[in-house]
Amino acid sequence: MRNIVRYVCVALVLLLLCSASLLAADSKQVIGETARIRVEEAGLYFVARIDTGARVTSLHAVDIVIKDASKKERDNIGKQISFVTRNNRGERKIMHARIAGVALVANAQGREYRYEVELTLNWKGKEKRVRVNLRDRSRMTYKLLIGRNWLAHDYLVDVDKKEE
Amino acid sequence: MASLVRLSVFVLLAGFLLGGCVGGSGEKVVTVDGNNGAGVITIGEVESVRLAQNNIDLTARVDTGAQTSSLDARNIVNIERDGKKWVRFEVVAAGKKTVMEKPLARTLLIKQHGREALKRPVVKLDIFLAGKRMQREFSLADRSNFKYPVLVGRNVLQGSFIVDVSRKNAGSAMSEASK
Repeated sequence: MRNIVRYVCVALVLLLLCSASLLAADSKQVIGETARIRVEEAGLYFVARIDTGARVTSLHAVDIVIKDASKKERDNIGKQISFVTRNNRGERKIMHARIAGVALVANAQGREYRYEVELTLNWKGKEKRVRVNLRDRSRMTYKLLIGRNWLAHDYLVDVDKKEE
Repeated sequence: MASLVRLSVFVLLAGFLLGGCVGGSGEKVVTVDGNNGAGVITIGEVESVRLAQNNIDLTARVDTGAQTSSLDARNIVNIERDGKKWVRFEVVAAGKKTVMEKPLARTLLIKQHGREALKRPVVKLDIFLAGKRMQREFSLADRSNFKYPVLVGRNVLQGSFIVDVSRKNAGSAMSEASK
């Protein structure tokens, strides 16, 4: 009888300490102002700008082709899209995806439609799949811009850190 | 009695070891020391900023993608004081217009493709953010097309703040958010 009581006590204490440490641990990782992120579907690494000012993540894309495209952008949701992406090193890759959404962007250049696809972005072995909007980022330093949709709930940004 | 003591010690040790293993498996976030040695504060994607000079409270977008911070200013005029370059501008908050005059710290040149570069005056402002008082550079620009009148960029964040986009207006300008 005594032994059973002992084992139960041990189990209870271990369980208590286990859950206490789990609750105490803040599982968000700290990422810098730039980071080396792998776009899984492209098999390419990008030095990405970590941008809390951007709502959605953005990837450099040119030569966009939509299969059975319709003139109305919103009617293309669900269709197959192919595009060419390129990282800072100049490594190119043709990508194929399904259009998950369309965003109307009003900026200094006027009004533009941006197609969105779902991509898997990997940092330090942790993968996260998010909506990514495609745009020509040839004139920008960073070909991949990580926005709040990838950062939310999982990452904290410390601009004193940098990954090139 | 002695065996019970032994058992308790064993249980406590095993418990701590197990707890330590579980807690350490992921990358735990610990308060990081900023360059000035003080604790680093976590702020959200949007925060309240107070201009110390006149206690104007403004809402700010916290933007790690921007190098220099920015303040919504109208009627920006270059003036001179004692032979030095100053800037006079208007800040609008809660429907009230406040005129401010500050020495020109420098001019920010924003290059645009196929168009003339934009020039923005930069001034130093004393601000409160999450309970921290600091003096930092802010470029002056018409931000009426943006959601928030203030943009907090890396020059304010460096050495002082870490950003958690899952949070919004966590604290006030005058105090850090309760954890």
